Amino acid sequence: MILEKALQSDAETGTTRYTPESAHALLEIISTYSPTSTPKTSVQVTETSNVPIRLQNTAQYAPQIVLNSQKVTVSDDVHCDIILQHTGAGDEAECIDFQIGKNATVNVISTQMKDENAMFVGKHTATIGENSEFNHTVISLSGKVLRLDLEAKFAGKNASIVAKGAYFAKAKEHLEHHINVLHNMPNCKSDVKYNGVAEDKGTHIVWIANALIEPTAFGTNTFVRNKNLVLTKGAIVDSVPNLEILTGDIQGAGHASSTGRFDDEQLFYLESRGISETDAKKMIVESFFEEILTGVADKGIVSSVREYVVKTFEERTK
Amino acid sequence: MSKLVIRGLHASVLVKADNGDEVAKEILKGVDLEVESGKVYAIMGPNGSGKSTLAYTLAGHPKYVVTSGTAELDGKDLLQMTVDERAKSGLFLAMQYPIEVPGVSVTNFLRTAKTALDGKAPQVREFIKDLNSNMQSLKMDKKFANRSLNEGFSGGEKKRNEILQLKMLQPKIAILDETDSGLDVDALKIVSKGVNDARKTTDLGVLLITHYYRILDYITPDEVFVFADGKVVDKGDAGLAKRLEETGYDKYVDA
Repeated sequence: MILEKALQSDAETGTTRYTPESAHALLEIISTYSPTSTPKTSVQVTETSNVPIRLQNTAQYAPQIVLNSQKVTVSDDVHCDIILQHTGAGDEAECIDFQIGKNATVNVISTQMKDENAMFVGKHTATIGENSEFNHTVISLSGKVLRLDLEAKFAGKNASIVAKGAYFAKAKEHLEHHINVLHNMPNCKSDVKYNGVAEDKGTHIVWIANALIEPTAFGTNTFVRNKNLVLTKGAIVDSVPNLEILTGDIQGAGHASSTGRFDDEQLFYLESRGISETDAKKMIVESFFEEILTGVADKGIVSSVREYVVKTFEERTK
Repeated sequence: MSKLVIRGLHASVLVKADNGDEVAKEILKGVDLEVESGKVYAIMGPNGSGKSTLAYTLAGHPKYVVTSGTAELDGKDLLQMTVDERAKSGLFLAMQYPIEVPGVSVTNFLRTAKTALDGKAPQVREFIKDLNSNMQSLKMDKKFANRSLNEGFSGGEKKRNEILQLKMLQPKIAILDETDSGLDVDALKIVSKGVNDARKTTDLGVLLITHYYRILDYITPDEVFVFADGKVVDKGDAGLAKRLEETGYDKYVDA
């Protein structure tokens, strides 16, 4: 396997392993290695179930390197939840291709809570069938280098994607998210919303989103937005929302990006009701995650994210 | 029985000058005012006279700097307190433009505030019961409890949400900064009833800032103050407010 070899040699030399560049290089390799043609494993979801499907990683120990290449096929009319939890000290490269039939609802949540020296790089691709809903939620909280790309396109009309994400970058972590939505079918919707918090010098956030509306995609409705809260001096945020519109016959298209410190007016509002400055700030930090956690069904994930965010923020203010 | 006493209050706002420097512009030019619990005081005056500045200065907004004068609530110096300490001492400001805080639900916000004010978390069942009945009396849909604070609220919904907070947090003295602006007659009645209910249950003192007489039909003032050029220039009873509605503020502005 090309990817496994690349990762292995990468680990042996150890020279470029923990840099954003190596994450980029890995992603390049992943791109040429299509899970559509040669998946390591294949998952067929043919029935609706209340039990979520867990695609667990096994990269718990360094210097273990794990490649996860999967093809997930969801049949027509099926509703399913898919949970991906990336933890541990081992490096991971992941490629998942979602093929979604008609009238289906697929909720994916991917959490990245790697050990501080571990790297994760992943690429999720999705083809969404007619009248189907694809909800993709990303929570990236820790790891030396994290990169996760999402590429979505439609296989039929009236389909929708909601791509949400929240991340907390600190201690020189490199957190990178790319979201590409190709509007190639009529009357489809996409809603991309990522919130992030950054602190510490040398921390780097990269967020790049693209919504391309092709001439055939009339009736498209899309909004792409990113907001970042910077807690300390020296953290770098690159936020790039792109919108390319090749037809005038659309319902709506918008993009927004903001990066800044605490909003004085929001703090004043909370404090004017008796909430202390520290607690008001904690509430705002939590709110960046709460906005994204809305709709996440797995209570265990929601509470572990909340706990992590509060703990990380409180450690900082000690 | 609570009393807010304001003496000779001068305050400036920091504004950007043409050369980019921040300069202080004096807005409040010696305000003298007393607000007692159980009573309603209306402050009326033209645009730009400093009414809202007075409200925000008392609440401790960082944009405003007090240059001289005093403001004491029950003998305690408000001006030395942080914003949250002012709230804890019993002051409440219903804002003209309530701020949107996405990701913080109305319930979570109110529970956190209540906990901070009381020094202990409220009993869950009592709190929810209280919240539901107050929302009901303000004709707010139950769904608001789980919505993000003020996000996507209409102007009227934001004002009701301010009064909901007033009723839940039970301050001693409330400043209502143009709570009536942007409300239709029905919403005005609901909001006014909310304020009157709060007065009945907690002996609340109200400083009501407004441009228009109409809210005074529903919340009867004990005293009316006319505000112009950063200070109180006239006072009287409800009749003064009625006369202002006809004559306007010209005579105070030209003077």
